[in-house]
Amino acid sequence: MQTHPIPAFDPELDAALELMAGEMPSTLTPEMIPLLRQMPLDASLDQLVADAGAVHEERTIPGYGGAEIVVSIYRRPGQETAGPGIYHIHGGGMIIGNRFMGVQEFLPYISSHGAVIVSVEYRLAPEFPDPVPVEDSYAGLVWTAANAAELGIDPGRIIVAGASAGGGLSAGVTLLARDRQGPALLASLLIYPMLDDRNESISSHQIQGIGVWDRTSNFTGWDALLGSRRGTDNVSIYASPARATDLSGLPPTFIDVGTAEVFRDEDVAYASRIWASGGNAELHAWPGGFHGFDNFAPQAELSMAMVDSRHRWLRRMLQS
Amino acid sequence: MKELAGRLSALDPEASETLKVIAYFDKLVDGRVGPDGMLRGAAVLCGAPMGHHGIEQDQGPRFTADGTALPPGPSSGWPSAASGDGEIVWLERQGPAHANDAMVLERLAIALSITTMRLDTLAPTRRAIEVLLSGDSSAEERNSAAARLSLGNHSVTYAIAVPASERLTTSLAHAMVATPHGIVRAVLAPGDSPPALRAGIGVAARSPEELQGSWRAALAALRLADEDHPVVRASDLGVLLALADAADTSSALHPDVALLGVVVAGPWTERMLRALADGASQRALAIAAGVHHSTMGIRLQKLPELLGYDPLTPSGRTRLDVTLMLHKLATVRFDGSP
Repeated sequence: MQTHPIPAFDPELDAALELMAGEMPSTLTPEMIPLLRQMPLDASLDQLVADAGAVHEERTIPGYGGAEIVVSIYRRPGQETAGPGIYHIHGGGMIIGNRFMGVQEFLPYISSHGAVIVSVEYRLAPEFPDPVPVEDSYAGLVWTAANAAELGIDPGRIIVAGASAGGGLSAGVTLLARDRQGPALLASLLIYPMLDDRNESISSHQIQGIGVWDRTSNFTGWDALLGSRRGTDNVSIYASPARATDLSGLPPTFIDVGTAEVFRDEDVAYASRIWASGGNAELHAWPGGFHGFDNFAPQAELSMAMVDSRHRWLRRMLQS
Repeated sequence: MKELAGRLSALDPEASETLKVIAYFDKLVDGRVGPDGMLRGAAVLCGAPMGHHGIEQDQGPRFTADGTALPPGPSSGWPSAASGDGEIVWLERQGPAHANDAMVLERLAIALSITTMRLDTLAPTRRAIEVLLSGDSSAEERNSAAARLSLGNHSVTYAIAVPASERLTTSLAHAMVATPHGIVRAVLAPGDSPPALRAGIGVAARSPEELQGSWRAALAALRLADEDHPVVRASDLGVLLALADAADTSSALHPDVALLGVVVAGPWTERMLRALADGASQRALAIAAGVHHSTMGIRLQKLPELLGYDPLTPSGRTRLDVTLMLHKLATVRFDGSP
């Protein structure tokens, strides 16, 4: 395959990445999964919840195939009037992470918009391969919509949101809701989503051994999810939404991505296909951004611009 | 995302990370990151708020340890570092210093001064002019400064002094410079036409070495300019220019000049004495002073005693004339302050 020069990392992000070199390798391989899962919980989460004037509650709900899964619910102590629902699906390459990772940036909407956040603990690959992660995530969405009244959620104003693998799962859940005539969604927020198991785009070749979540890491995640089915015709559009050819009938969709990450081309293509289907998508490609740069170096100019654009869109959706 | 990459966080409070800190700021400089980005990055590395203010300011923008902006605050009382051009960065560290605090402050100050120089597009011109006008530049520095300003294209160059408040009417290399007589605009021109309504035009310089002398002459000429003669050419001063130069380089006032300073504090004004030196009659002086001509007669009689010589004799008049010029050179300030 022809080699392509790689977009340079943004200087602020590059400096931060170099400083933290050694904290986390660019390349993640299957044998590293157990160690990666030992990452400590965000110690500041409880404080952030309290600062948002919210309470945290856990529920055990039915997941895929009758198994029990847990959701975390964040809302005002006395949720009197129904507010928007933010259904959150965490990231972590389908293989790591938990429901507490990624909800932080949505907590302010509890006080500002009376939002209720539901974050789902879907079961992880490789122990629970496809379709468990996306079906657990969809089960949580169905439960959220069915229990909207009790949760204090306006059932007509539910948004699905997630980053990385959580973005891919959010896209898959949105497609499931469309095709199964499930909960009507107000919008889908796909933060640098992981959408394509084939790993054959130009960007997936450019990012190898550099940045965050490189080509090999992407194989690690998709192989864990799909096993020998990865890259074959035997992969559903719900597991790998980039395979969907018809993206009509979707709610307004937001996608942001860095130009120096594996997911760039599949994310841009996904937005293009929504437009080709006559749909509504907002796409932001941030120059020189590696995967998850806004979280890695939030003080960088590019990170602030990315987060700002994302939340401007989300506020527009919540006001509609 | 955090689960895959962690997060940029404060440096170890106890382990020195000199090389990492240097590499971090070098990357920001190479990448042309702006001052705010540098400050935010430094605040994150230190885990404490960081601030920055310019020369002769005592407050400036600050950023917290997570990179969010704070209202401007003072630098006083905090550990700080100064850049080459006098800008200050400071770290609002509560409690004992961390191992990398001093290094972050130092590298931030260096990085900011490089950025400031880059953002100031006039800086290279300004520095070249400063080199040419300064007395302590080497021949090599003068030649490269002259080359930057393309002075070699002209057979002669004139240093011209223009009050800072005057607008230039032609486009020429110029810079504000500090002098013992206040801030003034230095202009380098290929001809001796005045570039502003008020100007002191130096003597022609035929080489970069001669520009320093041209500038001294321009500063003398501008101090001698007034309402009636807003443009003064040093070349018109003739031998008086040598006198002005000698007075400027002398550390003490000549006694005649010191005495004149006392006289003009009394009933005599500089303007009246100038008229006298120019040969005005007793009657004309009386009218100008608004007094009876006999009163003026009495004043004139007392004048030799005050000055120490008779200004009505030919040599006395010359002496008064020169003394008035030297008094002006010693007392005029370009910025209008006393």
